[in-house]
This record gives sequence, C-alpha cells and structure tokens, in this order.
Amino acid sequence: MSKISSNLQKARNLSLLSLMAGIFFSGASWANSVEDEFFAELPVVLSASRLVQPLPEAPNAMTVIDREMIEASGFRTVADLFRLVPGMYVANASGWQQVVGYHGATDDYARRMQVLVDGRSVFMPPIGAVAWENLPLQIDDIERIEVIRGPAAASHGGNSTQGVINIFTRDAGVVRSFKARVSKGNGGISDASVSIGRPGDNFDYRISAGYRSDDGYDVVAMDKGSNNDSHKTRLFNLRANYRLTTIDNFDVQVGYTNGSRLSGHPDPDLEPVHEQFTHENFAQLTWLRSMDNGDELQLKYYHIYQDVLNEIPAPTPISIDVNLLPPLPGLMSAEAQFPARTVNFTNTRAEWELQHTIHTSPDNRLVWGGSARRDWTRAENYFREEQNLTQHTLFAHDEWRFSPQWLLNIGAMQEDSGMGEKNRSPRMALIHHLTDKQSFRIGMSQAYRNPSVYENRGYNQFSIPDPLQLTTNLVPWSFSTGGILILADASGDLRPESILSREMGYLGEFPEYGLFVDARLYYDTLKDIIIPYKSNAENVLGQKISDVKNTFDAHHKGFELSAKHHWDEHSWLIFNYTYQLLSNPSILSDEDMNYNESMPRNMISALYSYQGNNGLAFSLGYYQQDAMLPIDRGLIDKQQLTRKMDVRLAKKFQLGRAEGEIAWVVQGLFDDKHIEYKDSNVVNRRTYLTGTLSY
Amino acid sequence: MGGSAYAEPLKIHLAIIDIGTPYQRFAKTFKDAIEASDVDIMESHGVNQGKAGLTVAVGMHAARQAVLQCDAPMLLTMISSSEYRDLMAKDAISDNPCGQMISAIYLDQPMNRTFDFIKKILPNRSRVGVLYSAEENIDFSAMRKMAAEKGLSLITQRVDEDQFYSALEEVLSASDLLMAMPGGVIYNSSNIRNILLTSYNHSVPLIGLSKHYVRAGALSAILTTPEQLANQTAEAILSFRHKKQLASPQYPIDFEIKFNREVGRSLGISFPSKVVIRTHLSVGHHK
Repeated sequence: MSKISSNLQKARNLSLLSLMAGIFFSGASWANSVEDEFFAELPVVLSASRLVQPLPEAPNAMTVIDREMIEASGFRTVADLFRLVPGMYVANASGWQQVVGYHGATDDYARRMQVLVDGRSVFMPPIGAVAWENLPLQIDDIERIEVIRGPAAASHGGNSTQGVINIFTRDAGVVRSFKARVSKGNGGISDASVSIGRPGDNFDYRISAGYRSDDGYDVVAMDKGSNNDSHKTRLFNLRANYRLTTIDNFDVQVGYTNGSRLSGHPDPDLEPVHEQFTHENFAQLTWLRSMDNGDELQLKYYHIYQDVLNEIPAPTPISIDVNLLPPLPGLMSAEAQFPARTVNFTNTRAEWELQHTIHTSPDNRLVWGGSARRDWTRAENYFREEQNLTQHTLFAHDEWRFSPQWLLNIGAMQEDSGMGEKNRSPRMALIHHLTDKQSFRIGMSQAYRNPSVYENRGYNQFSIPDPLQLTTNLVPWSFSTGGILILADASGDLRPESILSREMGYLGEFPEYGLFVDARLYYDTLKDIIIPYKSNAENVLGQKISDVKNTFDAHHKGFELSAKHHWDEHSWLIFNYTYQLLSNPSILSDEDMNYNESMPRNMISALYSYQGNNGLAFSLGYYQQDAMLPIDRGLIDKQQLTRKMDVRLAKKFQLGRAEGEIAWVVQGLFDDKHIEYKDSNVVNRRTYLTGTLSY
Repeated sequence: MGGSAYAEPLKIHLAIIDIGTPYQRFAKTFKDAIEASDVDIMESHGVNQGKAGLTVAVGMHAARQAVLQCDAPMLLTMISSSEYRDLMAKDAISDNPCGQMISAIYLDQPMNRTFDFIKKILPNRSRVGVLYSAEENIDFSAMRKMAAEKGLSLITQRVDEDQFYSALEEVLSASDLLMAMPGGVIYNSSNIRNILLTSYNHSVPLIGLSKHYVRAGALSAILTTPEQLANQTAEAILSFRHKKQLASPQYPIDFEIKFNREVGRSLGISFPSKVVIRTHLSVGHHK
C-alpha cells in the first residue's frame, strides 16, 4: 500500500512536470510516447521536384542512370557515364577535355544539350561548352542522372535542342557519417575522396573533398609523340539542408575545383608543353516550399565562376628559310623568336529561377516559371572586349490526364537570348497507356540553339611583337611582320539553329520476364546549323582565319532501343542499341560531307551486373560504335569501328563497425588501342584498384 | 436513459495530460458523442480527484498516471498496443487486482489489417521490410506467421545507433516495401529524410503511420483519427454503462486510408479505390 502511495505522489509530481512540459513543448516536438509518432508533424521530404517522372508518363524519351549503374560501370569520370545512354557519343579531345555528343554534329563542345547539376545550368553559353573535368562534382556524390533524349526546351530551358543531362547529387540527409575512397592504377591513375555527413532534426550537411589525376592518353608509337595531357583536379563540395518549417526547405551548396592541366606540344611548336591552371567555384541557394496536394514553389539562385590561367612559354626560336627573306648580303640563316603569351579567361554566371508547380485538378498539373541569367566573360585573346549577356526565359508546361488511358503534355518556353534573338520553343506529347504496363507516345517539339557568344563575337588572336626579332650570322636585322596573329574572327549575325523533332516511343514492362523495353523512332530536321569554317581571309603568317556561319540544313533519323532485364535480385543487364542516319541535302564542301559521318551509324552499349549474397560483385560493360569522324577533325582522325569491354570485380567486407570494399576495374579489356576523337588519342587498357571504407 | 442499470448518471473521469491538437480533437468529439447520454464527464489534466465510476485516460502519459491510482475501472485509449502490453506487464500493475479492471482501445492498427492493406495496394510486392531498434521488444514470430498467412514475408533489421545507414541499406536491398512500426526510435524527424530519400532511391515505398508520413513522402498509411477513436471510446463507455464491465482491449474499428498519389505515380504504382480496399480489410476488434 505504501508503495502505491509513494507511486501516487511520484505520479502527481510527474503530472505537474508533464503539464509544464506540455505547455512548452506541445505536440510534435514532445515525442516520448508512441502516440506522438502518429501525430507528430514531419517535414515534406519527397516533394514534387524530387520525384522522378515515371518513364511511361514523360513527354520525352529518358534514360536514368542510377547509383547501381554508376557503381557497376566502374567509370571514374562523369562524362564516361553517358556511354550508357543510347545514341550518346563520349570521347576525349585530350586527357582532360571530354566530348559528349548526342545525335550528330559531334565536336569538342557539347553545344546542343542543356546540362544541369541540381538544376544549375553548367552549359556556359559564352564558351558554348561544358568543361566536364572542371565541374565541382564527384562521381561519388551523384545520386542519379536523368538524360532526356530529344528537345526539351519547354521544361529545361534554352539550348535543350538535342537533349538534357540532368544530374542530381546526393541529398545532404542521405549520407554515411564517413566515407573514404582511394584508387590507384596504371596510366597515372591516382584518385582519392573523403566525405562526411550528418543528418539532424532540422539541419543536415555533407562535405566531400577529392583528388583525381591521371596521365591522359598514352604514347602509343614513336611517331605520335607525347600527348602531354596529364591532369590533376582537386574538388570540394558542401551541401546543407535546413528546414525552417515542415514545408519550407533551404538547400545550400558550394563547390570548388582547381586543376592543373598539361597541354601543348613538344618543341618546336607555337605552344610548347606547359601547365594551365583552372579554377571553378559555385554557390547555390534553393528555397522550396511544399504545399498541400504536391504543389510547390521553388526559388533558386546560383553563381558560378570559372577561370583558366594559361601562360604559354616562349617556344625555342624557329629557323626561317632564308629564301623567304629579303636578299641580304651574307645571310646564311635566320631564326624567329615567338614570345611567351598569356591566354587567360574568366567566366561568371548568376541566375535566378522561379518555378511553381500547381495541381489545378487531380488530373492536371501545371508547372510554370521564369529565369533571368547574366553571363560575363573576360578573355582578351578570345574577344575584342568583355562580353556581357543577359538572358530571360518564361516557361510553362501542363500535364493533363484527360482519361485513365491518355495523357497530354503540352508546353512552351519563350526566350530572349540577350543577343537580339527571341525564340519560342513549343513541345507536345500525347501518351496512350495501352495497358497499365505498356504505353505508346507520339511527340513533336521545336527548340533553338542560340549561337554562343564566341560563335557570334569570337576574336581569337594574340600579339606578336613588332618587329619580329630575327638573327642573322652577320648583323642583327629587323623584319616587320605586323602586330597581331588572328586565328579566328567571327563575322557575327548568326541566326539560331533550330530543330523540329518528331518521335514515336513505346515503353513496355513485362514483370513476368523481368523485362523493361524502351524503343523510340525519331525524325529531326535541323536548320541553319552553325559550324566553324576557314574563311578566305589570311593572317600575317598566311594562314586562313576561322569564321563561323549558318551553313546547311540536315535531317537526323534513327531508332533507339533500351532494354533492362532482371534475372533476380542479384543480376541485371542493360542493353542499348542505336541506329542513326544523318543527312544534309546540300553537300557543298568536305565539311558538309563530314557532317553525315559525325556520328556512328550503329552503337551498342551494354552493362551486366551481378551482386552475390557474399558481398561479391561482378560487372561487365560493352561499348561498340561504328566508324565516325567528329565534325571538327580532319580525315586522319577518322575513328574506326571500336569495341571496348570493361570489367569490374568487387568484394565487400566488414571491418569492425566499418564496411569496406575492394574493387578491381579493367577498362579496355582487349587492349585494342583504338583511337578516340583524334588520331593521337589512343585508348590503352587501364587497370585500377579502388578501396572504400565507410561507417 | 430508460433501462439503465444505474439510478444515477455514470460519472467518468476523462484524464488528458497532453494539450496537443489530437487530444483536443479527441476530447471535443468524445464530449459530443457522450452528450446525449446520462454520463457525466469530469475532465482533468491529472489524476482522478473525485469519485468516478470509470476513468478514461487519453494518451500514454495519462495512462501511466491513471494506472498508478487504479481506484476505478479504467479505459486507456489513444495508446499503442505495445505500450499497453508493456504497461500491464509492470509489477505494480500485474500484481495489483485492479489490473483486472483495465482495458484499452489502441491507436495502432491490427497487424492483419495492415497486412491486408499492403496486399491490396501492392499486390506484386511481398517482402516487407521492418526496421526496429535495440530497445524494442517485438514478437516477430507471431508477426511472421501472420504475414506468411497473407502471402508476405518479413525482412527484419535491427538498427544500432551508429549503424543506421548500413541497416537501412541492408533492409532496403532485401525488401519490396518498408513498413513503419510504431514504438521505436527509428522514425523521428531526424531520420525520416534519410529513410524516405533512401527508400525512394531504391524504389521501395514506405507504408507510414499517419497522414504526416504520407505528406512527407510515404506511399500510403492506414490510420485511425482521434475523432474515430473518440467515437469508439464513447461507444465502449455506453456499453460499460449497460454491462458494468469493460470489453477486452480493442484495436480501432474505424480507420482512414491516405495515399500519396505523386509518390505512387513516380514509382509506377496505381491505387485501387478506397471503397474497394475497405471491403477487403480485416476488422480485428480484439487483442
């Protein structure tokens, strides 16, 4: 009895405490009994913008590269991952300049695709390219990549003429406490990364730092010389997430890379071997308000800065043929000394973007928004003056499920390019669900690629001291050559390239066979394709000066097949096949001819993965493409039929509380030494070991 | 009320300690439901101060206190079945004869109803992942048996404090869906982001406990609202008034179904109509 009385007293005390606690910490935050789990408010996590659009409902063909595929592929660089996308060409212009092209007109710039990292456009119009190696982005930080195959300007902004690469990095709330990874292999492969992270009630963060380096392409034969394209990149990333309320979410990201890139050619050459240095940083802030019924409002701001510091040393003096010089008494030999020069540039971008998703009814979703972006570029050797470009876009797209079997997706983007062009890019797709596992899509869209600032206003030149210093064996002699060596001079007045794309797609899931099939037929008409060419004007050395022009129209047609087969939970196979035909009706020159060959006609990529219960993993990648010639290369660089096979073998293990993995990757198992992009780039077998430890 | 066994109105003590919205909603509905009957309600934030024929304790805080006093039959409501069992297993109560006078109406759903619900909305998924913490004492053998009867298999994974991520990866790699269990320390606001994002990346949907889970990103939930529980509690009291004894502990009779259609669409899951689902779910009154 006394026990009960004492308990009663305790209970009364507890009651008072509970009441006080209840006053100060009502409801959600007072989670010390089970019923609180039923009533506590929770932050909105899977908001509309985080959700992957299901493939059978997407208005375009889409390839998703997920974490599982990234691991199984064994690839070290982000650009390599796009080998897993049907119709996509990946190569390297040098060990540190990657080329990613889709559907033709392949050159060393991915000019015709929009590339987004967490919604931040890293395609830089001033230079008209994506500097893949300089991106503050580690392959380990990528959660998934969605690649839209086909124009998607209506939903992804300008430059989405042939496709969109949409990279999503890991959320700050989904990380292990600690992870470290080290890779070492032949060809100078030496990578390391470390990441830490911590989720919290209202605040999560992850920090990663990394280092990546290799020797670039190998020297394969004496007559090819050295490629001098070794490189080192250091990376840092921070992502933090703060939840002010259960519906207001702030995402902050900052990133930084610096790199050294070997470039140039052995003496004698105008650009002797030397190192250039690159820096890139960005900061991004996103406010996301998730409202009821999946509606959301998102405001994003980001800032990107890039620079390249390229001090090209003076080459050794070049011998001059005395017969080219004015007759001089006693002249036996002469040498020209080109000076050292600086070819630096800086590129800065700031953008605001607003996006509003509204469900106007359970069957209709509207996404609308706009953006304002400013790019400014200082590059004395590439432009006459500092370039400023301000672009604006306004976009809307609507998804209307007008019957359980039918879905209509319609949208458009209005764009002011900042260079006097105003484009409207509409898109329409009609999807019919034949059954709940099979769908058929027809779509049509128009999009524009604005000429890059360089294509429109480029002026690539450097000064030569005047007079050029010559030395004779008799007396010092001056010989006037003129002051500026012009390599490229854009005449401007370019029109945007346009693409009209028509496509039919089929998606089928056959769970009983573990099979998923995505097939697409397309027919694209491109107009006013912008291509650099050699003009008739000559520079002081008598070389033809490059210009850029709207050239011809072209038709791209083809077929893409992507299939995934799961045998069981342990093994799967992805198989992609592409047949593509490029044709331009008016063949005017060799360059026009090259256009038709600027993509391989047949391409195959396949990735098989097996994950055993014992922690053993095995994967096999196969990549094949027909002969092709990048549009900006000469015939000597023609790339023959290539076949490449990669293997990855890995074993997971437990080390106390930590989990480890050792992986062995062989890229180019057959070591067939094929060339990529240009004849000096020979792909040799690469082997590397990777050790990972995490807890 | 004619035919009442009591000459005087039944006095009940409504003990509510917590002041959050769910308790207010419960209290309002409960009072409305009982209003027309000859039952007098004495409401308090603590222990029974006067003589009442029945104590109704709402929520676990009130229940913990009420059972210590134990001077009248007692109906504990808005508590989970596991907490009720833990409470009744305590020496102070199990040794006391008043333990016989205590009954409950649980807040959580009977497991067979939850399994039926899963089968109905995810007919092609059978591997049910369950995360539990070291301090939880769950009878998995009974759960497994019940799951097997429904054609489901349970993938259980203990979560140690510093091994959360690997435990989550482990259970997700072997499961078709993840089922939140009440009573653990797993599904707190710190972990929920990690759980929802990681499970979504594995295409493994989460079956949550409440509408808040569904809003946060769980695929669906089957739940009983405070109002539904209040009505069931009121009915139990009217029954007590007639029969002079409390029924055995009950699971909630009425329930609601919540779907996150956006998440479902993204994962390629289409939901059957709620009416159809309801007709297939077990009622499961008793413990």
